[in-house]
Amino acid sequence: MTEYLRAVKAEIVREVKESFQYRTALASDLVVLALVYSGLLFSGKFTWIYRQYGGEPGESLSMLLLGYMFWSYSIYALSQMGNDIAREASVGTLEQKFMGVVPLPLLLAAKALGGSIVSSLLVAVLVMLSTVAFKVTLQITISAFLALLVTLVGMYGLGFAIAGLAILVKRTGQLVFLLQILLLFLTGAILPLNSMPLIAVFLGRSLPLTWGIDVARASVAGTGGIVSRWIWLLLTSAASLAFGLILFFWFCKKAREEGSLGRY
Amino acid sequence: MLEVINVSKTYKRSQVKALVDVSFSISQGETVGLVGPNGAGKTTLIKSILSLLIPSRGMVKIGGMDVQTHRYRVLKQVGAVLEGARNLYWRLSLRDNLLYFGQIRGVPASVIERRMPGVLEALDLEGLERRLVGDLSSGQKQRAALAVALIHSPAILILDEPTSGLDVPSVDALVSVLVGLKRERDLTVLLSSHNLAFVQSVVDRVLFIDKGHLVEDMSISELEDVEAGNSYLFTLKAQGGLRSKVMRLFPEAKLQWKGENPGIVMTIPPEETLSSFVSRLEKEGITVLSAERLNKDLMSIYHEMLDEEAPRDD
Repeated sequence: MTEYLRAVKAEIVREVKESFQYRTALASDLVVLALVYSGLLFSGKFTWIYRQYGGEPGESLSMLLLGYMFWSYSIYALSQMGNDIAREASVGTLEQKFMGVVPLPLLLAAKALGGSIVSSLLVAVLVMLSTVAFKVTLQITISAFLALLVTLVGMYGLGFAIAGLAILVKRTGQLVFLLQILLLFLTGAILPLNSMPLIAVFLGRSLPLTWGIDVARASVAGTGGIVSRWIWLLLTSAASLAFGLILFFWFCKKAREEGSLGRY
Repeated sequence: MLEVINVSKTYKRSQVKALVDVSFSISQGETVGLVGPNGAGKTTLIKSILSLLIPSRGMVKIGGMDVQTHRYRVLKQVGAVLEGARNLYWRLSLRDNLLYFGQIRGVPASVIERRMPGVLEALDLEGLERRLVGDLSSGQKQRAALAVALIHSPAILILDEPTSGLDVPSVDALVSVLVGLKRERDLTVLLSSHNLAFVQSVVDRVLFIDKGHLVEDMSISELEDVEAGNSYLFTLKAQGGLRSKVMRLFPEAKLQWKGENPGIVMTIPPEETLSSFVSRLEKEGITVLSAERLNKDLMSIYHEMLDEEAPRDD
């Protein structure tokens, strides 16, 4: 157990230290997040949010920021698990990780925790920018914060599926990019999900991010029906984690059979 | 210490038989070289040993434990530097790499800090621990990878092409390091390399592998016997039926037909001298016209091995 904790701590420290060595990449992530957010604020009308959840019309932008924050964390989770794993495979550190004395999924979960610390800093800068430049403040409740944690468990679960795919086929950059864009539109972060085609509604409702945003907004606005929303969030998050882990183990086994673990 | 038992690997997608029924064992403290051409199966074998690959058949045991079923316990005893890979985080300092990889191999940070000066000194990396690995020279990077592989004090060190991309002074430095480690730590080492001079200068035993088959397992003392000049090229003459006479007497002999003077390459058995061997030939009606002593090194033995066809895969 001590060995596991030690490895988890080492992985978190390494992930944070290494992320700050890629300062240009971090800065460009932040610029993209800020530009997309600014574009949304200038181009869109988000009164549908307050109509859906209640509250004051003036709270719509704050609700938008809340959903955008959930999305920002989630896309970082996918990119970290997909693109980073492919990069680690290409430089040989993935094989070295695999030769550690703790299971690789545990190290990747620790990597995810480290990544969440880094993405929290990005989100903090974004929220500050939003408050100072646009006078749009973030409202958050304990329930919304817990919803973020549960959402991230599910999104990192999906990240495991992409990590597995990255281990087997390596190039997942385009897929990750496509998923990040889809998540913006299919989860109710910036567009009302109910106005989407049925298939999009079905896909969106099967994602923990959709329910996480829903729970957080409902919690902040004091909307009723929070329990059923929480149940859906817990179910989709647990299902995403299970689905991601099953695929991850399967892809890892295939990679070990084919000898492609670490080969690029 | 390390047992490879009837290991075979066929890649399903390409149907390439990368390893065919390979078996050998390595004792504690022994240094063994794995030699063979590209595609011979060296890296597949090393990855099977490290459980990075699942063999189609057979088993690898380290310290008596199957590496596939007891992976985490077994890998505590193993350090490895793999071919063509950085193996390290180049954007982190050498110290951070040592701390990270040591801890994911079960060693507390305080123990790593204590061991670090000794490991860095042994590998001539003192004073470089705060430098980013990406800023080190190629030779230093290779030694840094070695330092990371050694920081958890493994009983077995596995090196796949450790001299790849290194210049001559860096290879010489690596030889000194490995010889020093062997002497001081009683490490069991398995290394693969195309640099035969490097292999010869550090190993106790050489395994020749070709087309997935282990074609020869030769100790360095046997190799030295061959090198010492027990091999000769005899130019022979006989009254009719030279080939059949020679093949009957020495089925292992290699016949070379050059113009009018056929020759055979023979290694004289240790119990015979050159004159007694020549007398034996003459008793059989074979006249020895000349005997040229052959000085071999690992390179020429390697080429002889490759000239001989590896067994068929059926």
